[in-house]
Amino acid sequence: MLARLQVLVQEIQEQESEDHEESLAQFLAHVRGVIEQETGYVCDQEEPTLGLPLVGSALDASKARAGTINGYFARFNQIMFAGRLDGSATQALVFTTVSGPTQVKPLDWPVEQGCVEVIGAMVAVRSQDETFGDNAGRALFGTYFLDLDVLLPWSRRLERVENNSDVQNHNLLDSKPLSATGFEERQSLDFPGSTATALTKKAFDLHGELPMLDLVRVHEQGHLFDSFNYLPLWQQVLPNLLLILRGGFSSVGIMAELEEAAALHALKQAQSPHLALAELVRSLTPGEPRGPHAQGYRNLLKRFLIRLDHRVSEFIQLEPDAVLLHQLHRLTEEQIRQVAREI
Amino acid sequence: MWFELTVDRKNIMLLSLPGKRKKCQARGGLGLWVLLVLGSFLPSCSIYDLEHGPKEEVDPDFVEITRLLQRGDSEEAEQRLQVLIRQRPLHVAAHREMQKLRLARFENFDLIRDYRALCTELPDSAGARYLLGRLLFKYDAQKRGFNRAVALDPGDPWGHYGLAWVAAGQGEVDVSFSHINYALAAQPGHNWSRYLLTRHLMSQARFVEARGVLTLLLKDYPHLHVNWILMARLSQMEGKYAQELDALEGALAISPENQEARGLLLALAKNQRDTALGFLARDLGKKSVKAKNLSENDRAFLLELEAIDARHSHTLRDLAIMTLRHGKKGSQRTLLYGEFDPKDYFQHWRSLYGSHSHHLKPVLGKLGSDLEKAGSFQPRDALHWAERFARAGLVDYAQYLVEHFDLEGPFASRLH
Repeated sequence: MLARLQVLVQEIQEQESEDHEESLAQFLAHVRGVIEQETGYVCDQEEPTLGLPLVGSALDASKARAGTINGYFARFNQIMFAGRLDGSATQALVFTTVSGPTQVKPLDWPVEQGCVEVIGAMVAVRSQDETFGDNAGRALFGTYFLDLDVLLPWSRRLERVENNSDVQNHNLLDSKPLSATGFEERQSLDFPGSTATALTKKAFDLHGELPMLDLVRVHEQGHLFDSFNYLPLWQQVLPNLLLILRGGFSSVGIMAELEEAAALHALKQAQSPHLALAELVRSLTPGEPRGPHAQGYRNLLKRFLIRLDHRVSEFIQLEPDAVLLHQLHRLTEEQIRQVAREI
Repeated sequence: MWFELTVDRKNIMLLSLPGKRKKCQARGGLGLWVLLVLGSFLPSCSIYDLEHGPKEEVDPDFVEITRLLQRGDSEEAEQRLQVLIRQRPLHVAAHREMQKLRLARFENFDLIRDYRALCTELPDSAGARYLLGRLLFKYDAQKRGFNRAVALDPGDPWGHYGLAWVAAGQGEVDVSFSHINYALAAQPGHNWSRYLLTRHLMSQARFVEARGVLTLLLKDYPHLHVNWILMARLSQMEGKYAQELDALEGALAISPENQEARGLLLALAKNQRDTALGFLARDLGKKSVKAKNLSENDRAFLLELEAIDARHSHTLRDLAIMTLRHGKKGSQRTLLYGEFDPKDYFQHWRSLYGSHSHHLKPVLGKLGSDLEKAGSFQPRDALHWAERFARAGLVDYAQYLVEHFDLEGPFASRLH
């Protein structure tokens, strides 16, 4: 059944990449059909979905009523996510729950009821796109999901800094940054070099490990914090209009704004802000940034460097006549949080 | 009608007609003639002019350096690169390898400074511009550098190659093709341009043309493992698994620890699990790690092979014996005590030998005496093992160890 679903997801993705007409509802109808044909389980209840204008719609995976798709998957400790950004193909993901759903209440959470955390692994169906594909976490209306299948290999890859030689560590942490004349060069993002690795190494040295799970968790919580600015729609008309304007009336632009806000939250709240910064630097691309994450992270990094530049004289470990990007690892955790709070 | 052309590692060109089994072999001049004829059939390729061979990349000193690099001997390679660069300050291929070594040490910022200085020192050098350009991050900046290189010397292939690379990165394959043509017009034997051309042809499923170019590439540069790996990938795409295996053997002969080749080999072994080809792939995998001391990667690789082929291989035992042979005491101890649960370890052998534990005892004895010879197997180690075996329910093995090593103490006396 899962193999058939995987094929279905791929087929729909391929068809829709040429023709964007299939709605989320139609996709869900296909899935219900497959479940019924293959297992005899009847999905006769209305699927709980959520939507944002100009952004897209998603299956509300936090609800698993009997007679719905997630009601079926819940019997096997599995969850399906499905969603569609306006103008792109429907994406879906099915994974097995390892931990949760757990009620959590992050620091400064504004309402009485907390949010729901689900940690999953063993992904059985996965799309190829950026939104629902290889992301380590997803947040949807009061619930966030952490995907260990992505998180653990990613973490292991980064933890290779542990095996660096002394020469490598010296070059990473003590290299002289490229010199810069004027604020444009100081704030330049044009040559990240080994900055992301240096920040990762710094995070590792400070914590003895890389708190990756925490980083992704705080990022996803950031999305949920941010959602209070925009939901419910009828009470937050102006912020939504501003969001749409800032996003340039495109779903990717709007998503980029949301990613930027979540990454900023992570920068302020994550156990290791160096690691959060490392991910921003790692997302820089040689060409134009594509996709909401790359765009949002780049914007945030730019704003961080502008803010840092204003305060460069206060941080004695920074060289004011050198590229700031190359010196980020010299900041302390508290300094990074301070600058982030000022953005 | 298309001919199929392959080159094996003995430089014998094989020409065959699709669907027919007969092959004719051609060496040297005849082979080149065949390639020329084939080349004239291929569209959009003015590259089959073999009069101009490759230049700096086949200079004997550099070839030796690439051999060292691919074998993982980067220290000696770096010393030789320094000498070569002192002798020929604009040996672009040598600089590229030097840059790679320094990048691996995270000397990114120093590299930029050094190559900016080189450009200031040699303002008219296309090579220097190219070398700086390839270190930059943004496509725009790279493009400016490469365009400058082309403007300084349109007859130098590297600037064109750089532009082709940038265009490929930006998804402009047609533009990339045209830059490759310029690069190959400047130097028909340019390895990396032909390599990129092959990749483009493969991505467009133009397999016959890709094989034609790659055949030339392997003829000119048989010492580069990347070319063999590309041949393996092409053969895989064409479903020619025997040729893929042959190409992987070529790659691993040059660079035994190459992770990409090993990854392809594992995939092949998995695909062809129950065929002779799968067996050969597994065998090759094991051979490829035996040449060197065991690294973490080797261990992971062998364990994966083990997982593919639990019935026939003796990989676990091989692992242990190998570490002993190489005298890596630390490794062997980790391997034998830490990484594997003795129960799994010996259950594995049991699955190989059935319930005939008399087959297992010599193996244990061999391991034990090897460990003794290596000076790392003390009676307390034997006792440690014996206790673990006993806990795992493998009392006969525990007993064997106690007897073989004449162990004493309350635990030993219980087993005696």
